[in-house]
Amino acid sequence: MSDLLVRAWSLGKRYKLYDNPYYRLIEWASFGSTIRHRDFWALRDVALELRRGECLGIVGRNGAGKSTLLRLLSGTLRPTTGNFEITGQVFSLLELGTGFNAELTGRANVQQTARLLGLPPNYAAEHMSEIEKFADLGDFFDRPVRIYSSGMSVRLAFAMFAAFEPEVLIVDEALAVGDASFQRKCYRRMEEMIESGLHSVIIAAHDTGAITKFCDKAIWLDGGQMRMSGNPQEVVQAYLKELLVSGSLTTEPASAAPASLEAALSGAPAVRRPAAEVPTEGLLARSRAAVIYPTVGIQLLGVWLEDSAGHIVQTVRVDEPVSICYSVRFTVAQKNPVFGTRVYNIRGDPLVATSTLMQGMSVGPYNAGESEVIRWPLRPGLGVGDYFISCGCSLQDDPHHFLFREVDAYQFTVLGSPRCSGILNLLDAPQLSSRA
Amino acid sequence: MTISLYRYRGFIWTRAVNDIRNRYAGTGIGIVWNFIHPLALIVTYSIVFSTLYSQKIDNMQGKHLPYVVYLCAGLFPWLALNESITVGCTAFVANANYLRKLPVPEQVFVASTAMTATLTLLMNFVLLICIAIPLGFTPTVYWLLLPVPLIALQALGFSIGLLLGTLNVFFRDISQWTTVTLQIAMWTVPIVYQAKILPKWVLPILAWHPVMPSIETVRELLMKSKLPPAHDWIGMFAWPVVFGVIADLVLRKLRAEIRDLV
Repeated sequence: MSDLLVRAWSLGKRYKLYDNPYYRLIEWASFGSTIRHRDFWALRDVALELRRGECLGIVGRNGAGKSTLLRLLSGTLRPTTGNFEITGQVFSLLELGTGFNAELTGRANVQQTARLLGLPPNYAAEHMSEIEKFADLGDFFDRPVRIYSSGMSVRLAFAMFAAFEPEVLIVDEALAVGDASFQRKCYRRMEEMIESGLHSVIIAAHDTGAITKFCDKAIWLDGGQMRMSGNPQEVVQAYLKELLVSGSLTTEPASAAPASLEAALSGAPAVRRPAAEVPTEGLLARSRAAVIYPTVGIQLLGVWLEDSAGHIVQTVRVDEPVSICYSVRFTVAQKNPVFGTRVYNIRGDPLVATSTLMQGMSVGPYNAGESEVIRWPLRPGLGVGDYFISCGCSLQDDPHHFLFREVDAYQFTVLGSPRCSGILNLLDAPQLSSRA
Repeated sequence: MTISLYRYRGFIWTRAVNDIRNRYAGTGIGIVWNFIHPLALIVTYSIVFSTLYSQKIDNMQGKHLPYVVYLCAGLFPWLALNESITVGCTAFVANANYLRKLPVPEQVFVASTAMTATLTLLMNFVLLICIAIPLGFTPTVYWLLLPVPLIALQALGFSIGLLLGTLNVFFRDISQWTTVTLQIAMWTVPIVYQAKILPKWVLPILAWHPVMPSIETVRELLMKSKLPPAHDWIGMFAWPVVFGVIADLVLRKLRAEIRDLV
């Protein structure tokens, strides 16, 4: 079946902004001859089509109109211009939860939502065991939603909507709240729905990886307008490129640094003391994607890159080793600090994360006023592209207690001719027996 | 408007029942509190009026009847109307959580608050009747008609609540004004006092009061066991329709913007 489930044309949404709510009264009283508001077009002239079994991805920055578009399609906003047609039921998982009543239990909320969606009276009851199993809330399913964590509300909401099997399922950023294993389950379920060829899914996500993986088509919204639409790979690439140029990559919440691909950072960092020279120029500037946490008794003096000869560099050649360096000054004495760093690419793939602790080093103690330069030698192996450095310092006794932590705070570029694709450049040129 | 209300009747009903059931959730005797509050009201007023003021009402047959029944026959409907209007007035803002996320027709939330108030009102009347009988009232077939004026009055409450609730989304002061206005409005109707203490010239004006026909009808049926005059019947049904049509027109006009603002 390839019948059209969603068709929208010249969809637009205008909000009227009033400096004072009573200006609206003046407008009403004058029967529209006085205008006291400014127009704000959250969405303008968007057209889209979606067939059964297709998945549409929507990318765009915050405020680009993604949520507005989804709310229009789910019927909770009315379009100012254009219109849309949806065949069958459309359910949407917008923001957190879906209008749950905090006082009711998970089970009662499922029943209430089913009624609110105008489903037949016994519909919820028929699907209850499936929902209960998928949401995997245990005893919480029969306790008030008020005590749920945000992740649990999303689990309940997703389990419910997936079980109700709407023709069109709309999923906002909401899934990001769930833990990784639940997200995996949700994506699997959506895959099943898409593959069954009966349903369509619309996803808006910061997780551009999900969009390239699941979607058959994608649109890029920018300032409320459709900037690009078509092949998800192309759209996502163009979108990410633009983000990079404008330097406003969306930040990912800092997660515990995973220890994968540790091999890329070779050997232990050279912790040199007390010579704490900080270069006066050539320091890396803080990226606009940075997430900076409060500091405790420590100062980050600077972050820079050194080539093998110890010269400060701004960019890295594909085949050259480089050291990621940073310098700190302790304002409070510390016995056993742990220095750490990690490197992510722009899609947020964790390429490597390590620390002096993981390298088996014991550092410190430091007196107040002492400085330290930490140099992390990085073997060649990063592909051509842009990378983000995070750095931090915690305590050996309590590795989650950070003295300072700057996530995705410094950015550098690896240049050269790409000799491979993929995340890391771990394969060298092959040897051929005929040329031996 | 009525079609969508019918379609969501399941939600309106369960939500109202849950509201009443959960109102005293966590208390020891739970649902019994629904009866204790009106009972306390009745007992207090009957003591006050029988001992302090010793007010009595004639039922036109020379018999004197306790003032408390006259009072409660007016007061309970008024309190229910008051609840429908004030809670209905904030229904959109209070249920923004649903309105933002689910494509439910707006009026459903006002309807469910009106339903809650109506159920409370009917429970209160059952209690009032249980008390009226030992006080000297004889049950008659006319009592079976009591739900008619009560529900008509609540339909009026729903219509006014919907109208004010719609406007309150745009001008948030309306809910405050409503509370204040209703407090004053209570004294424009003979609820605590009797119509006969009013000057003669007021009575024709009072007949046009939207609340008057229903309350008159309740008293006629309950206390005098007779059908009220035709103008009461007309007024009782006409007022809810008039306000319902106005509310519907205003909602239609403003519907597109309500969810932009809640």
